[in-house]
Amino acid sequence: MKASVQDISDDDILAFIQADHSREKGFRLLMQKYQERMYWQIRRLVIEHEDANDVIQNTFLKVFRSIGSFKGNSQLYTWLYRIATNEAITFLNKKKRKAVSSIDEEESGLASQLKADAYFDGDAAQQCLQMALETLPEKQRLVFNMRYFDEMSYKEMSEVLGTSVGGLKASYHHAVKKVEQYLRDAEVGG
Amino acid sequence: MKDKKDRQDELSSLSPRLAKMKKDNPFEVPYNYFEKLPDDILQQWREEEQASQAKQSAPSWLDQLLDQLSVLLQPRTAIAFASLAVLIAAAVWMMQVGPEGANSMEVALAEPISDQEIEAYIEANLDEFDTELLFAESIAAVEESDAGEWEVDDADLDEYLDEIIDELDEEELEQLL
Repeated sequence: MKASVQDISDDDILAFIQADHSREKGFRLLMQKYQERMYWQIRRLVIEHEDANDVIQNTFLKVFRSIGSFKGNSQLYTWLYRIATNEAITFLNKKKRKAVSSIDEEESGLASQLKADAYFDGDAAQQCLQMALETLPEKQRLVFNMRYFDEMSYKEMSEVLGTSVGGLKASYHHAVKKVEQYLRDAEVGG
Repeated sequence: MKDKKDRQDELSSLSPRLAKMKKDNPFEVPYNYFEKLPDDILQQWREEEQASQAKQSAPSWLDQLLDQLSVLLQPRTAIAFASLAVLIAAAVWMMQVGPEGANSMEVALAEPISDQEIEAYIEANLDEFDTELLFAESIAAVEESDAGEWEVDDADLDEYLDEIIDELDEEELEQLL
């Protein structure tokens, strides 16, 4: 029975990376183990595949450059998640500034963006949910994604975001209430 | 398992609609995307490393300047450059003070020097004079002077000889003869 890359421990991967002769092998194992989870985490924030592809590549290059500074105080995935989140937020902020500074650019809403996206295959309800998430402040949207989609515990979320568990609970509750309200309004509006 | 149930209960209490919604992922990726992604990223990593190594091996303009300065600061080169600088400075100084210096020299030469001063100088520094040169100079001086003053007629010569003979006593005369 062939062992899955998911069965390889983080310590073994880090040992491969630390040795010069096996560094690339270690990087490859790291990506194979975590790339999908990280990709979806990024994709839910930036929405479009091309953007998510750019962000995940930058994220892993940054991880490779700074893996020496990983002290093992937190789980490896938590550390990766934090870097990916920062990269995604940086990307979104740059994109927002670019959109604001571009006078000629036509305003394109998320609905039309999702319809045009060849890599979005959601139904009307899922499209509505994405639009509800778009209305949330950045921090609440991040917290909602971590809790609702990635099914993380508040403790893990606290390690990634550096926010107290109480604060995260409050953010999540606010976010869910707003989404619920959006969905209700959309249902009434038809 | 307990965590999952806690999350579901929490969601149901906050938003019944969300709790009932399917969590299917509506997003897709291109075919074989995750199989190719590690190769793409590793390729970028290799290029980045090569560029970084090339940058480290190629000296910057500052490094080149420092290298050249370090050659100039070697003791032998530094002494040569210091000497050259002193010579240039001296030449510049002389060019600036040149006219005044020449004037002071002319003034000094214009002042008359007495024969006594010349004789005193020659006696004091006789060793420094070349005797052959002095002799040649004396001959030349005689030749250049008026030759008439040195012509002696026979009568004068006889008179001069008679004076010498008169001054000699008998013994000296016998010795000469």
